[in-house]
Amino acid sequence: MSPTSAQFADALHRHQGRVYSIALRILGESGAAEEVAQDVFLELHRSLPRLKGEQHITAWLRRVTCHRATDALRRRAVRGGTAQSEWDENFLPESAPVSPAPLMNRIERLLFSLSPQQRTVIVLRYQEDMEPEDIAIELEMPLATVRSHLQRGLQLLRSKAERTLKEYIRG
Amino acid sequence: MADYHNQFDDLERDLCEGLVARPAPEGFAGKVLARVANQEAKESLPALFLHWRSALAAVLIAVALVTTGFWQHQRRQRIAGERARAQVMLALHITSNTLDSILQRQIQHPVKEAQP
Amino acid sequence: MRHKFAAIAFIAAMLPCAAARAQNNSHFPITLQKELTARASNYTEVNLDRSMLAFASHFMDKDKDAAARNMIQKLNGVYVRTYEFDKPGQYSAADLAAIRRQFETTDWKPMVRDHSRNGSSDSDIYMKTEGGEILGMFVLNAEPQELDFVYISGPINLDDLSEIGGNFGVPKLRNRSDSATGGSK
Repeated sequence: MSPTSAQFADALHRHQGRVYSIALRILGESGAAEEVAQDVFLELHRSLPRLKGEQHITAWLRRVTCHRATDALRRRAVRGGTAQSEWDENFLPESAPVSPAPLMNRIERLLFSLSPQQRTVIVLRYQEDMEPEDIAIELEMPLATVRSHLQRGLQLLRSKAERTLKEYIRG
Repeated sequence: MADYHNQFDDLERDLCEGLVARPAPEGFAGKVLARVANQEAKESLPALFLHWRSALAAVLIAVALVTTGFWQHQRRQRIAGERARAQVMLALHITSNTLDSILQRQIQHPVKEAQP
Repeated sequence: MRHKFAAIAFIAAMLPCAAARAQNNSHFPITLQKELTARASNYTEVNLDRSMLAFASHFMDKDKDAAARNMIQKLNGVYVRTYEFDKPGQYSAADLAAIRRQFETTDWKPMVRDHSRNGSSDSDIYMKTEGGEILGMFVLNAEPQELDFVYISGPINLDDLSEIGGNFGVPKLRNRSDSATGGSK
């Protein structure tokens, strides 16, 4: 195995969950998310010789995954479908462990009441633990826009959760 | 209701803890590696073809250059040769004219032979 | 001592080169006044040394140019000068005498000497002979408004020269040279 192949296999094993999760939380459909994630890794294989260091690879994977997932959403809209607004029942593959916190499953589903931009920013902020400044750089978006998406997204999540989770808690 | 409100005060904290990366589907890495291998196989064929074409193009260019060079050399040689031949013919023509004019003069007038 | 040996070795090495040069020393032998060229209204100079003749022979037709080809293959050089003048008196009798003097050596024999009394035309043919073989020819033809010199270096076969006559109108020199040679005896 060549050094590049070994480096790629290592990156694939370490980042597959991250890439798949970002795609899944933006797209909301496991099949499409897997397809996007595979495409991102194929692209990584071609671009790997240009990427220097682990941080560079991680940042590259985040950025490309967000862009490819957003592209897939646009294509879906152009084909006549609508952006995912309902939680896909296949969100969790059968093999995936069920989240021990049912509340979080509900919150994840609520993400799809947000716009794709808000969803993307919240996923990067809370899944990837990125600061708004870093998200702005990664997505090539003004910082004020990132902050606005975050603020508005959280507000929407709160208001939706207040209504839907009330029933859940009661249940 | 109080519990409910407490939970949502901690929404951001819950997002931080709950939005962790989920594992990729079973066999995801295998599928990616298979696609990479497939892609490499597809790319290697055109590359091989490209190399073969480049080599052929280089050989053709070299042959063309050598042929052109040889042809140019031959052409220059032929031109120089034709020029040299023309010079010889001119020299012989002048020689013939000069000797002829001497002969004509000797025929017209009594010959005065040289006394070496 | 070492220097002497070096000098002798150098001279010994150079001798064959000098001999070769002397053997191939075929160039137009006469010195002409530069003014002659300047005064001429039209002039032609042809210089063909041995290598040039050999080169030209490769481009001559084997059938059509056979006689010329056969002749030049043996020659060391062919040199031609022709000068045309707008009016008479552009060269003097002294100029011609100076040129003739260059052939007044034991090697060269005047075969034809035709000098008009009024100086209207002069003709000279000199030949260089060795062991009965002609090794060179110099032709001088002077007319009031024209001056021609032909110098051929190398073994000349008069039969070849006569053959060329068929193509170029070269007169049958055999008879003339025979009579000239006969006359000189």
